[in-house]
Amino acid sequence: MEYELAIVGAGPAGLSASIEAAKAGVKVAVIDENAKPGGQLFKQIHKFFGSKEHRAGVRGIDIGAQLLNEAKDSGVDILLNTTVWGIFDNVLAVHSSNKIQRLEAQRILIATGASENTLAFPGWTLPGVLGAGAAQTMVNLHRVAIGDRVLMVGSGNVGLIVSYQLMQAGAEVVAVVEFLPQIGGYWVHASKITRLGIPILTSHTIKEVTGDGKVEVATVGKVDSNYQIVSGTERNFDVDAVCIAVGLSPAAELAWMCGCEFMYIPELGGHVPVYNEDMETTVPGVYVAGDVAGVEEAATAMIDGAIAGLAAAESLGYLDHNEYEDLKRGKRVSREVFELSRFRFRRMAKERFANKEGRLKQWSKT
Amino acid sequence: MRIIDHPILGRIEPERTIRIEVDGKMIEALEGEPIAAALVANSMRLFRFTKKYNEPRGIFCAIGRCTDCVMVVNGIPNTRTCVTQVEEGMKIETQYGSGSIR
Amino acid sequence: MMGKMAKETEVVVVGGGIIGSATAYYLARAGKDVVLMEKNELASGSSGANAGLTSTTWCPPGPLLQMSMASLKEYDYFSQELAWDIEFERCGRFTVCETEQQFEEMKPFVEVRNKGGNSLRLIDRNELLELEPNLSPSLFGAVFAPNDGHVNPLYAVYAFADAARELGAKIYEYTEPVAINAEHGCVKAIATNKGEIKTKYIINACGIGAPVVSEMVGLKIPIIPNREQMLVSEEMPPILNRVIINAGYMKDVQPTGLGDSAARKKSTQTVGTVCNQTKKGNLLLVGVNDFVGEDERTTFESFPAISEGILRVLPILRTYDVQIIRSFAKFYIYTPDQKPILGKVDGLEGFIMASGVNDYGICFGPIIGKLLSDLICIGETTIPIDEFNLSRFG
Repeated sequence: MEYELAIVGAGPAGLSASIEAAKAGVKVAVIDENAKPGGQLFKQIHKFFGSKEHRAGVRGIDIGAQLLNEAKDSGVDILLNTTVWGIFDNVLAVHSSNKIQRLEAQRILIATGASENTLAFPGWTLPGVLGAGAAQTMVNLHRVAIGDRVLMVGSGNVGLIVSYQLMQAGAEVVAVVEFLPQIGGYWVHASKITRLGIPILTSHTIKEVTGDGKVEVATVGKVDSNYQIVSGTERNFDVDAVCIAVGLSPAAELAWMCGCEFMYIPELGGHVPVYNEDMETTVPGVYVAGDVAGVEEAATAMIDGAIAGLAAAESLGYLDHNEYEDLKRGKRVSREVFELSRFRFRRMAKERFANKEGRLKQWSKT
Repeated sequence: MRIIDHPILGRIEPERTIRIEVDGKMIEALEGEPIAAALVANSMRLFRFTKKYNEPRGIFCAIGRCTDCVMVVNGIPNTRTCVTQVEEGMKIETQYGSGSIR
Repeated sequence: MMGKMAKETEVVVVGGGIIGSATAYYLARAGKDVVLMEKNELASGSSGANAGLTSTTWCPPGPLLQMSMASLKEYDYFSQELAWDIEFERCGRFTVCETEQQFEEMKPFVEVRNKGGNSLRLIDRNELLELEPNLSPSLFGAVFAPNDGHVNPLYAVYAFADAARELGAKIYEYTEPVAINAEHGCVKAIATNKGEIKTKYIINACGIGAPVVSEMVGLKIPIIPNREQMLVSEEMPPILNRVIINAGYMKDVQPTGLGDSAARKKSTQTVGTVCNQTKKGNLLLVGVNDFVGEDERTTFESFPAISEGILRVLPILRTYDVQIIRSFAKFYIYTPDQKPILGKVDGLEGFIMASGVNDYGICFGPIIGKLLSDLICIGETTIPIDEFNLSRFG
């Protein structure tokens, strides 16, 4: 198989990139290991916010469907149930229907998203302890309840949103436990669940989970200024599920394999591949976009994906350089508008990215 | 338990119901869903026991990355139940350790 | 290790793989002041990326056979007497014959080696399948080495290093030599990126990096890196009792004396079938070998190549839809005659070679450590190593 641009991951970043590149005339394939494309979008039943351009007011599931149709209409080949298990120079090694094949590409975009982190505590392996994203998948995608009474660990956006979605699905979220002294996610999400009577216990952490072959009791305690549990503050919750929402880390194995340079930035999820303002990594011809390049959200993934798609198209000769620079500038302005439109923002360090040829990429977060 | 009615997602569309066998017991599953969903829908959450300490495990990531949910499916051990679709008459068994070769 | 680096010692061992860590252990045990230095992390070279096989089968009679057998005894001692869990098991090895001709060739092969002190047996297809039921019935038979085995190479390196440290050795990672100072034909000190260490002896226990260190004293070492690729499967229930290798690969890769090996011919690629099931249950599948300089990247083609070989020998893997979870590549440290490079060097008192171990480094590590420790402490070795001296290359 041969393509001009191969995109690994059919989430918001990958699909957005494929649309821009295909519209410019590039022969594009988007490859996804799942049976359905859309990445995390198909679990997001809440309405996104931002501006119209950022598809504000539209639910994630609908954005996913829109992107998918646009990609198909633009002539993108979408290969599902296909895993990219390696990248060897310009060859993607793919696996599908028990066969392995080579897929040659002139440009590669790695848009593989991020995986959930975990938290170790006594009882963390019991059936019933699962990731918040996992709960979201089971409830929103597969329509099965993961528990009747749930404790949520982590008050970032994922913890808050999934708590709300669990309530919508008929479960009772007994509390949200947050290690730090302040709530991690946006106020708009936090207020939705406090209005439903769910207590958000800041400066609290999970001590242990017990049960006979499954989750039965979760013990939570208050932490002091050294983040140690204060003896005597323990509380037990009778629950049958505990969701862990303690952040995501870029799923960047393919970028490691290609030889991309990385930087360690905790605020963006850990080890992130270094890239420039064209979304190109330190390996020429390899681009990154979406959560794999730093955990943010779908709106920024779509913008960054679009830039990567345009950049790839330009480098393949399908876009005039000035035209590309104009379009890119427009996207970057849109990204900054989106960032400013937020009510509340996670504080992020100002970072400079530099690739081996000295090109600078500066991210500024307020 | 299945979430039949949902304020945003609406009612579950009636899919074809199929029957699968779990540790000798026949249960109902919906065509097109992963094995793990069928089990959880039938209140089964314990999928395997670990090799070294014989500890119970179930779902953790639900998207095929962590391999916590593996079971023996049609005789093949280490099958990720969260990304493997059910099929009529499928035989699913709790996996002990790495399973066994018969 | 944190803290200040030692300024003076008796022996500096350069290279933190199996040779270096084992040598540091034996020297420390003999009461010597030892520093072990490694430019990266312990076992980050070839010692950390192989199948951990320890075999006497291929060894022609003479010092090589004596060394391999003695080395396995050292592993016995280390794991049993010292109770370090390095997963060393003398599970046995089958060198399987895929053609009738190979089977015939193995008859004199076994005789010669048994005369030299080994205890191999040539078994036919029926006995082979009885002992190892999951093997393919298309095989003609095998050489059975009941005492060959395997070890966890990472644990072995860490265990020898920990044991050495307990006996007083100092181990410095992220430390590499930049120059070696000698006076009047004697080693005086080794300068590193972290400072200088005065020392009487320097042992070059590096793998493919050995020439770089020897260059510092004006010595040319004929090391030829050969990249080996292997695959790792998911954890499986027990399907293999012993190590399996196909006779063709053994002839290609190991200095059996059965004619020119690929290493000697420098043929571009060798594909073989080696399979070993670890204690945890993963299958280690070897391999594809190439002469590609120091390119340690894996290739796409190695997957179908290795898989085809193993499926011929172990067809059950297809039935059980076995998943490959990982692949990696590292180097064999070939020499032109495939014998190791050991011992003192002419013209520089105190500089000792401990490299060129081809594909048998994990097996020979302990005995090399012991012999070199004896060489330094008592001036002689229980197994003659003169034929492995660097001077043979002229």
